[in-house]
Amino acid sequence: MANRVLIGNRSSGGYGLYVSKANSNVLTCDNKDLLFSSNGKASAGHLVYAGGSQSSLSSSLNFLTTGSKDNLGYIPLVITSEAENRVWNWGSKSQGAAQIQLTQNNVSMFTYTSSTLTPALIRPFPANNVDGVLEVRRTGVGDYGNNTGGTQACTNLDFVVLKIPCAYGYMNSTYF
Amino acid sequence: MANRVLLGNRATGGYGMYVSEAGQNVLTCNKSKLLFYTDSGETGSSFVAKGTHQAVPFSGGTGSTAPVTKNTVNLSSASSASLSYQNLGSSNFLYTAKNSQSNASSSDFERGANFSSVGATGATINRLGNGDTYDVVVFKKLSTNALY
Repeated sequence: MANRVLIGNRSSGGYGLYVSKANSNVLTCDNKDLLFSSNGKASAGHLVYAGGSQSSLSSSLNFLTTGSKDNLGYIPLVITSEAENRVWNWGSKSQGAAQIQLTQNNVSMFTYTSSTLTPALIRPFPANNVDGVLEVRRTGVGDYGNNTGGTQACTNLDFVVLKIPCAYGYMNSTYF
Repeated sequence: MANRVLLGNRATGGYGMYVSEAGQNVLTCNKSKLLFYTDSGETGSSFVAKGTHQAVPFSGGTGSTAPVTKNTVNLSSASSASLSYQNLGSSNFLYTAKNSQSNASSSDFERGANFSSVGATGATINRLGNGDTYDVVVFKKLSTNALY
């Protein structure tokens, strides 16, 4: 079994507390094989509170469900990756007397609370979007008739929930 | 100076290894103030974290060589490309973004990319729409479960 914990003087890194991954010798392993280093520039690194992989998601997902985790008391930073990692532009079109151009700067939108993430949509055509952000994705019909974007359903979603407060008034020492 | 490292029996949490934030007494502080805690499968109000968020290097991270954690992929002409990164385990996910187009074209376009065939040492990046370059980062997943 490899040495996994060192409190002392490591040949690469100096004095500190180090923890290596399973089967990696904490005394000699590469930095990439350390789970923890008290000399890390991001202190202990950012802790993952929750995460998951969803083949599709069409409504709110409670990321506290597994293990009945406590609510962190703030909206955490969530990193997501899905099939719809794109921007989209429906170029200048004439519709009768109207000249229309629709742009979405980010299709991969979500709304967040302290316990959930929800696929969302900011419709690019303001006249169709008096509500602002919609907690739903397009699943077939675009904003202005057919062929204006098509389906934008959330699929192949991976995400991690980090213990980093991500809301105004919470980015202070009380929560970090 | 506060006690910051404990190897032993903590009043709340039992035997394990604990590291507290600067200024926090590791013996008595709230668990929310712990930087590190040997996860014993705790749930509910005792839960601290699943582990540390980590980027998987494309290269480096050995000896004195700094890890390279960002890869810029040119998909101006090709519709896909292969990515290779170091083997830190099989459970990864990849991240890229192409946001905030400052000058939207008057013609149709899409820009973006997603990923397939994600494995321990490589994946495929697939262009969505028009050609562009993409910055890619690989993150570790701490579990393959649908929710963890």
